[in-house]
Amino acid sequence: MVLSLPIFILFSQFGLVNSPVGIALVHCLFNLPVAIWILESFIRAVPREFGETAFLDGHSGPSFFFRHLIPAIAPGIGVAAFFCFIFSWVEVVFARILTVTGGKPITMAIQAMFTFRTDIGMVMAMTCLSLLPGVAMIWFVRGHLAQGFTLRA
Amino acid sequence: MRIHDNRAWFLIAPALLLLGPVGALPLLAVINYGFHDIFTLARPHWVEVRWFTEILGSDRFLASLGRSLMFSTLALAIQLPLGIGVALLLLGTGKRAVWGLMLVALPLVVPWNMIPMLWLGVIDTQTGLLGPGLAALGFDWKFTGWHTWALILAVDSWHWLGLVVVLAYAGLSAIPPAYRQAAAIDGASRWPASASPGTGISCWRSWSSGSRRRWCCRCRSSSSSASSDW
Repeated sequence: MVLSLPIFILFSQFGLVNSPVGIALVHCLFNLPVAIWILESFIRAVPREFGETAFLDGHSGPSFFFRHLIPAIAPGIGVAAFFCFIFSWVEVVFARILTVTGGKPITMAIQAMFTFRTDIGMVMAMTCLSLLPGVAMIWFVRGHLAQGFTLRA
Repeated sequence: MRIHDNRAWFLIAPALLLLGPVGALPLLAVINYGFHDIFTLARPHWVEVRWFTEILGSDRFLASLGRSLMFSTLALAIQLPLGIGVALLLLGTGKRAVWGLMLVALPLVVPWNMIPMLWLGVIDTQTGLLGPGLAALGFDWKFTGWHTWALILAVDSWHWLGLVVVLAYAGLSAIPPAYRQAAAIDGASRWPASASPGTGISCWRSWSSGSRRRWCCRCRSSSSSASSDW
């Protein structure tokens, strides 16, 4: 990841190094495009008449957005959240550069267990534990996985 | 009546506000640094395109670029057909497909720095699950080049296959069942390779036109995984 150095310099000026907020901001860099790609295809699948009917019924822009559009693409939001969570959860590169001690995410916490004498059993136990949130996330979206993520007219 | 309203463009403002500082600015900085000789960041020295000409003239750089391209090509060549095949198999299992999907999605949540650890454990020649058997077959990833390639490709496929399967399953299940029934009546089998190309190609077309954008996302992840593996 070539951007790490300038991001590190930029973040150190704002005191964002070694803080979860900093990592979250950097993860937006790859997660935002993923979310936009997924959600765009879901929003595209909403028929245009859907919006026009809502406007004829007297809904304003924001009201249409929250009352109609968001419920209509809810599965898409779930799927986007799933992928963003996973990509963010397993990310290593930025986490390594932007954190030292206190702000370590799980990947780096595991890495920190490798010392002069490493107990592989403990590392593996930690790895198993680190899988749990991901597995829970898969469990939450299992319905969407089975339906194939798609809006059916 | 058609209502034209361009205010929706304002909805991309948050994304731009976010990607500006963490995306565009660092990228510009990287490009800027590329034209400097930087011993300390306080005193960069302008060297025009010297680094670029040096790198592009270097055989080792070109060789490594070739290896990366080769790796990505091989990874795609393995993972796309395999993922689509698994998705087709799962599609045939009906409601039980959700278990298969959850199973193949599992490797996706393994932290990246743990993947090599897990696999080194599995192929350990003394204690690994597969190691002794592979060693008996003459597999030695440390000293034989193509064995290393095979191992890395296997690990990469293990990690990313779930994504291909999930996306392929999403696209395939969007094809209306009537479409598949019509193709079956026309005498096509489920598998594109073994049958008249008709279904295969038409299925592929209807499916790929819908999800080409998702493949861009997939390619991105493949290349990023490749770069983190090397």
